[in-house]
Amino acid sequence: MNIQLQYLIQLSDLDTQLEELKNERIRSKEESIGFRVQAKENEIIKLRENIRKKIEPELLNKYDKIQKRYKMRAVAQVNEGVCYGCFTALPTSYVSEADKNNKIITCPNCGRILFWIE
Amino acid sequence: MLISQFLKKENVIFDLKSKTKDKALEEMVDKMKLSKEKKDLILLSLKQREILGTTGIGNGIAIPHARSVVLDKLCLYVGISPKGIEYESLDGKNVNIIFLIIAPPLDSSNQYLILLGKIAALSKKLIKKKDYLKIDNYEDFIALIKKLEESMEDEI
Repeated sequence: MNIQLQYLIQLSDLDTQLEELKNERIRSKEESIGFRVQAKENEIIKLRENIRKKIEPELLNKYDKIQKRYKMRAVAQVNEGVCYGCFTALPTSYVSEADKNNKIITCPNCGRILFWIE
Repeated sequence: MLISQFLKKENVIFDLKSKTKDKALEEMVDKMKLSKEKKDLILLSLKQREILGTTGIGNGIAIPHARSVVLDKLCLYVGISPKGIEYESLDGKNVNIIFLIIAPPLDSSNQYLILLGKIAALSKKLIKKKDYLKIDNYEDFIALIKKLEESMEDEI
């Protein structure tokens, strides 16, 4: 798997968590169970920055644009040929490589960075 | 949705060897039948969640949970440590049982949150049965989980 793709997934997973914790319904559910967000804002920023500085500027720029547009899931799964970001089937000949996760590929419809789950 | 449906034999680990939170998470994720790269990314997502706030909710229970792009379905694993694991729990006590939940970023029926709530309720019932730490085989463990689930259904 492309190392830059790994960092992008790590960042996307973190951003998904942070976005969920901003959601009032999810946050109150977590709190009712007993989970508390203990990290301070500057610790969260530091955690995020530590991942971001490993990502090439051009890719980070692409990630930020997608993240700004959709809030969540800047990296989307491809499952059975369908982008799970926008639920559009990718053209059958879109990527020919055996290991599709060796390159950074974006969805032709929504622009999200793609990760092939198979 | 039943917790027991998610718990196949290979998803329950008796006698976790690890003594610390990070090692215990590694030991449990290592049981997953996925590539090393995927396992590493799942572990990072779980550890990131722990930095935001511990999932050791007290009374010897921890429910680490996270989402990751590399997963295609909701998974649940249980790890038991009669000796206890240093987990930085809210009450400072060691953890004896870990329910590890990992989910894809998107699940339309929100199974992830429902499962999280059910496990929190079930785990509180489970620890009242002090003998649960003596269980060392899957058949007895799953029978106990099913029994507790039935009693929870009766309460509703």
